[in-house]
Amino acid sequence: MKTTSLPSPVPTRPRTVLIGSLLASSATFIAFCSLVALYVRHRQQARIVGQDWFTEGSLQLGPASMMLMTLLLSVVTVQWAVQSAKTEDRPHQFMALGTTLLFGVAVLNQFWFVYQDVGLAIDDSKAALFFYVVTGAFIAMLVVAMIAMIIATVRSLAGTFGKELANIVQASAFFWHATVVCYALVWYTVFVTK
Amino acid sequence: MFTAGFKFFFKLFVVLITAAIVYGYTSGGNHVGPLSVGWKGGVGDHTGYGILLALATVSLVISLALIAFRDADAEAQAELLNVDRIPIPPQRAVKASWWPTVSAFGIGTTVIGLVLHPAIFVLGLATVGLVVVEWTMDAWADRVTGDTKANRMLRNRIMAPIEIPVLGALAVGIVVLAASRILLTVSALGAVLATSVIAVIILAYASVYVAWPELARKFIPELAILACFVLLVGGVLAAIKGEREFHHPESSSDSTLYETDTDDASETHNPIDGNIDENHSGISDTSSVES
Amino acid sequence: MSFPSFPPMTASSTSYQNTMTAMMQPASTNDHTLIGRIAAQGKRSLSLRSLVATSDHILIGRMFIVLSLLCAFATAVLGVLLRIEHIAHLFRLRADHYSFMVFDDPNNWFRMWTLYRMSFIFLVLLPLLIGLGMTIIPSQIGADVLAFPRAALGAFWCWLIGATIMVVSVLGGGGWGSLYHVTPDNTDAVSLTLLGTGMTICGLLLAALVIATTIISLRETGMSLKNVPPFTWSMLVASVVWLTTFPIVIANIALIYTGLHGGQATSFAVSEDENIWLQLDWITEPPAVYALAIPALGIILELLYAASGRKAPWPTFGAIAVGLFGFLSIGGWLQDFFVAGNLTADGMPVASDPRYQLPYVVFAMAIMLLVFAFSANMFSLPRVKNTRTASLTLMLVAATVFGALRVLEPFELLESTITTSVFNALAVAGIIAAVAGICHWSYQLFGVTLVPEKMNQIILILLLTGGLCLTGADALSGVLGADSFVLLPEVALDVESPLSSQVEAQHVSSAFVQTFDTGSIAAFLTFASCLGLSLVAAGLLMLSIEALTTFGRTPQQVTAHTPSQEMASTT
Repeated sequence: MKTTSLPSPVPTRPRTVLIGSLLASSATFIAFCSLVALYVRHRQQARIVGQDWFTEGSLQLGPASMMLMTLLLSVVTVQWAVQSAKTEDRPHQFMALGTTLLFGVAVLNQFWFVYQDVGLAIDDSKAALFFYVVTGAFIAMLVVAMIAMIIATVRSLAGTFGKELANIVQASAFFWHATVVCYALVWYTVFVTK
Repeated sequence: MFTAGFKFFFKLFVVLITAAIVYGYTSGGNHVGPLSVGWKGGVGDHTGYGILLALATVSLVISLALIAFRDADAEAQAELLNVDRIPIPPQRAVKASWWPTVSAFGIGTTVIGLVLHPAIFVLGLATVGLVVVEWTMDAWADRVTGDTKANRMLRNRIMAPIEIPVLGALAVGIVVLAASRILLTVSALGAVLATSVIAVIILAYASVYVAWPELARKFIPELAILACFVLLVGGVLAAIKGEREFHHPESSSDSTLYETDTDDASETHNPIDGNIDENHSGISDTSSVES
Repeated sequence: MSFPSFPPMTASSTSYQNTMTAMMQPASTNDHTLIGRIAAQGKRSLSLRSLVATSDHILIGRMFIVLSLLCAFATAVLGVLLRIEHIAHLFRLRADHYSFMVFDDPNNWFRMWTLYRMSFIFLVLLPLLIGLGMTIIPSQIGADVLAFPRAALGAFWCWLIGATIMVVSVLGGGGWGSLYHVTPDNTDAVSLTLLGTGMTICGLLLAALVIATTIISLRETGMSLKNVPPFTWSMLVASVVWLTTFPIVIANIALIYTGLHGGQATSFAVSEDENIWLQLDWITEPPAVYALAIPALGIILELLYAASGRKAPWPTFGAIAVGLFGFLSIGGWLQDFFVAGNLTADGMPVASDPRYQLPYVVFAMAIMLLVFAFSANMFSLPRVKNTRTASLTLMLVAATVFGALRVLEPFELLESTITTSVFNALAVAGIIAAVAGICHWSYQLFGVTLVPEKMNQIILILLLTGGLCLTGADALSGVLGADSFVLLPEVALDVESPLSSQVEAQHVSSAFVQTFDTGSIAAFLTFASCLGLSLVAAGLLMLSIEALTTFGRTPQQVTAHTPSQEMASTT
């Protein structure tokens, strides 16, 4: 069926999806920050009474920084996708979205490596419990962001390639950026300041 | 110049950042800790300070977004679309859909499965995954062209070959798993009675369907929803109560041929009862001869 | 401070007025006004299929409203049972100190007591106000649809299924923690309660997101955020506050759930003074609990505008009051449980520290602004609206005054029953607000005048009398020295000793009795609060029946009914 011979859909409000994404990202960000705040609070309590939070050398900064770099690269590819959608450049948009998703999968893979490398059991200590809660929450957020990206990709399959599609990609990108900011928080509070 | 939405959220930001700093100092912060997010000095109560800071950040981001969008006013959006007046979304632009409801049931199943059994958890996740795919395709098809019929055709051409087998398998899976949990919880007699009643209901419904097809067709969704609810509630109760106690045979491969949780079962092992024992030994004898 | 000001009703430019006028017209099945849509909807039979797959925001809103009204009645009945248990203690109606009359043991009592609180928030107030918002807001801003109608339907079912899991698991032995240790026997049930609560909150957050997005991005041409009607403004503020407060609860739940299953239960989730409930109870206490009442302020202003038919005095004050209320009810930061040691440097509970008292004073100021606006208008209002506005304002004033009294140091009421009183006052205020809103907009919601004038009066009187009885008695009990029903850390510590569960039960029961036993006046006051809650329950029952019977009304009945006098006064 030739879709080009059919009428275009009625235009809708262009900002709706963006505003929705903005609010959803905000709510998720607050939940995440709340977890990080509790993490820092418990770590501080442990230090006050002279306990070690993590044993020396149990958390390596290298893999964590590699994940941060991967996610920073994904920020660029996401914006590439947004720009492609705005200029109605379908091949580049698919390529950019695919690369972003690939970076997402890479981060998940790196997290798997970190979990194996750390070798902490969840019931080892309060620190281990918090470590898994905070990083697990981030992984959940990343998975949601990846699903949003996949949805944006599917929406680009066919049909009118207009501003509405660019808005959807932009909305997904916004959530992706919020996810990267959350990881930056994890990187700093969990891996850098330990 | 500054929009109302921006002003509201920016004021919220100012209030919250001030509150974070004040709270940081009054709850034990020192040096410039509360001013530098703990970089140089303490921030007092980390929980309250951290949450206030997060709230302030979010308020700032929303305020900046709103001023960039000019509060998403109709005029601003019309300008973005290069039209004189923004179209109000048509009343029935979004057609009715089952997927939101199915997604909620999928999440419910995942939640129960997380506690109850990994298989149910996976089933719930699969349902949610299915909904994500279906919902996305529906949303895409709704907007692909301005022709509703063509949109429907495009959607079906892609999805029908996938969804019919998958949905069928999923529906059977949910029913079997949830029902099995319930049947494992109730007593043996209760399980028999429950399955009999269900069988009778299905038979009765089938009879009604044959006699008055229109009437029966009308109640299909109602019955499906009712059954889903019963299964969910039953699943929760089954999780809480756990499986009933099963008596397993201690040894002897022959004894597995008989139910051992009844009084009759013990009789099969009674050496005095020659007939039963003879039958048993007869079977094993025969097999040994053949071998 | 330049807060947005609400448009006066006399402003001819606002489409709000046009929409309201359109609603006054007799239903026509082929027009595209709201009434026309109700009529068109009514032409279809209201089957379960339409409830499951609808994208009509009016229907989704109605489902929220009717179910939460039923939940409200059930919760009020549960509250009455809890108070009967209390009375049985005080009047020595039971065999001994260690047995319970209505509930089998202290743990069951605790489970139901927590269910009562959580239900009022997540099964009654939030869905009731969200339902009202989903139905009314699109027409107020000239949008005609919600921003994400399918997400709205998903939110409803997510809420309903989450609530079902939550309530069933609590009744099956779960709950938000336990007076004794959470044993392997009920760990699963507790986990289900936690996850059910999380799912319920996710549903409500999604609904709040839909409402906020609708308000921000679907306003019609000429209507800036500065000019939106009061109820819409209050729902925007409320939605933002909910979206920034309840994710924190979800984070708490995630932590508790992982602690429960991660082997850290003994040191993190349930033992010592770290009962699960104590990690979550901040949402039932000031300042976070005030977030439930934000839309009530919008409804008060809406009623005032509609009744007076003229520009309300200082409409900007109304907007400021709503905004201030919103600012100050952001309460996620004040989680007593996580503040180091739960005590300040001076050794007093954190919330009684003078620096935390400021918000409550400002709360009171915000309410006083409304009272001022109300008193300037009250003499010009029709009788029914007068009762609605007066009762609503009265309950809100009670809630803020009790809240301020609670934290002021000379009174030392922080751990008294005045905390319960604040919660109940806000709960009843929220219900009255919703009832007032439902009656005010019943034509939009149900296509008919939902409650006849006389019955409306009776319901309001029942709710107001009951609410005042309930909250007044609890507040007075607190002033006379009754401890809060909230289980204090020391009560939990009592059960920490390695005793058998029977002895543990006796310890807890003993603590329970001591907490309650404050003499004959206390007995009378408890009886008064029980009576008050019964009156509230009666009012809710009447309204629930009316809402249920009207739920499937058809357009013929819409046109057959003359628009009510109140609708006429709206224009």
